[in-house]
Amino acid sequence: MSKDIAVEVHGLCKRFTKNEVLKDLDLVVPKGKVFALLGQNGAGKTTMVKILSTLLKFDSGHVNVLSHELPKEGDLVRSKISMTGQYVALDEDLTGEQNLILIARLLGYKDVHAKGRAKELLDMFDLLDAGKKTVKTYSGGMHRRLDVAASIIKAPELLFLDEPTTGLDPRSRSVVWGLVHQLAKNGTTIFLTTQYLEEADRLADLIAVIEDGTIVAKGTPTELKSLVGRKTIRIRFQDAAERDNARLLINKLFPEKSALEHQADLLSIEISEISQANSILKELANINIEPAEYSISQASLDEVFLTFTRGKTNE
Amino acid sequence: MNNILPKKPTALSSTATFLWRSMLKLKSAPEQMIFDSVVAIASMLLFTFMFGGAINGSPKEYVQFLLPGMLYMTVLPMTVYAGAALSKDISTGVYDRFRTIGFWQPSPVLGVLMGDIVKYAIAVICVTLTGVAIGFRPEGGIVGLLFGMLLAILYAFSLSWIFAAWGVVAKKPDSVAQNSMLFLYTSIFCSNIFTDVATMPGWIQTVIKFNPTTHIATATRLLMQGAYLSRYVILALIVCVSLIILFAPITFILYRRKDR
Repeated sequence: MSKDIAVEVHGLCKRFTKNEVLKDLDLVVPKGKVFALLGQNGAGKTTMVKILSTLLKFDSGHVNVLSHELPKEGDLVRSKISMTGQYVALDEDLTGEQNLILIARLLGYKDVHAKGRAKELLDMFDLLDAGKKTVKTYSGGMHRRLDVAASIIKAPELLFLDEPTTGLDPRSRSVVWGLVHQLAKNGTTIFLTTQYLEEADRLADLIAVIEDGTIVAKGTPTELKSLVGRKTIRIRFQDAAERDNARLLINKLFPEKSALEHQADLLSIEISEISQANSILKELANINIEPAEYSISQASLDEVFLTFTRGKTNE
Repeated sequence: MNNILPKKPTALSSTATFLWRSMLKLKSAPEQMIFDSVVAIASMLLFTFMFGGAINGSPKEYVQFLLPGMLYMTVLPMTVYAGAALSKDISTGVYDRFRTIGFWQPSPVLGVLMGDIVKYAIAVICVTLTGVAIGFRPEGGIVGLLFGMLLAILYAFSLSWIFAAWGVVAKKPDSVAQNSMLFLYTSIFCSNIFTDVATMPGWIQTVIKFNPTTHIATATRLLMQGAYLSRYVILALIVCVSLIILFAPITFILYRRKDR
């Protein structure tokens, strides 16, 4: 196994009594990237994270995390990873600061260093004031911030974040996103699961779509979008008359393309390559039509997601 | 990021950390402990003055018999706390975090159970001081008294391992406390804690002799009378040690293997 690979999984199967959760799953995640496992509820995301973070045994297949074979080398894996689960992994009866000191000590920090590290993180996560209060009194966003703080007390090589922003308000969500960016910049490999397309799009270098226990698509956000292949150029004209002229021209030039009208002064044309957009604009310029504005857009991840998980949304 | 890279803590140090956590919890939420202490003192007074005259002629005579037993009446219901605490850890995400850190894994269990020793000690001291205040004067003097108290704490600690194992497999923290009450109260009332067995019908004497609490209470009385090496005392120690030897490993294994 290459040194640049953080997670390598082949033929992974896991069943819970009658329910087959992961079916012959293959996955490779390189080091130093933000990887997002995207899927709906019940697709197998959490099961996957629990197996990779040594919390759950699997039935068959090969699982390799940071060059260590699971389940045999679980101890070695545990010493290099950190995990923020979906459930808040904090002691509600202790204060924020005590929680961090607790985890720091369990990681092996001596008393003074544990306290220092806790302070440092509370400061970094904007929780200095809240640090003296019991976690019971925290809001959802504060919980999550403290949770992530606890996960990076000792900078892990690989950090698992299981649905890190589920249930958060937009402001807390962007705080968590900022943290992920920051950690990634410091070289931590991040393996996160999410059901939000926007989140995967914003955070991830690599995405795998999981559906019904198998990976149905993977690649960079751009690659995934181009898999679906829908690029569109939308052109807005000065008036309806110009638009009609333009439509005639486009229909003549590209008979196979259908130019859709959205509004009186708007055309939207599906294209397969960006160069086609250029030639459309050039042709329009030749007959002296100058668009008021135009934009080229790729298929959104939503479309990618729906394409790959089509028909299974109403389970 | 911090440059001081920590080494994996020793088993002793991670257990000490969990003990520290138990103490923090006791300090930040002392309500249960205060309640238990008040109940301990109140029932010591109530039982002595309400039943003392009827059972032994006078409260002062009855308290000589009652106090060693009263320790168990107080401390046994507290033995479920550890199981409930473990169950609560498992039902929240803390457990998952603990398990992905590579410290010695029995530490969280040990920390909780050892932390509860402090609670038993506080309750036992409350009962004993109340008893001494209302006239309990053991023949074994202070040394006997201390040995008796220690045995009560040891027995509670041993018994708490049963509930610890139970707490690890239980679905909900509440169910541990609720379902164990039947077991505990049978163990308390179906014994010689309150009165001498000799006054009871033969069939119930047989039942009571099967209850280990009976023999532990007898051993405690003997200790407080200064009979440190009676066979009851040895038997009591064997019971305690066996409970720990049997249930501690079971708890550790169940805790380690738990797939939530």
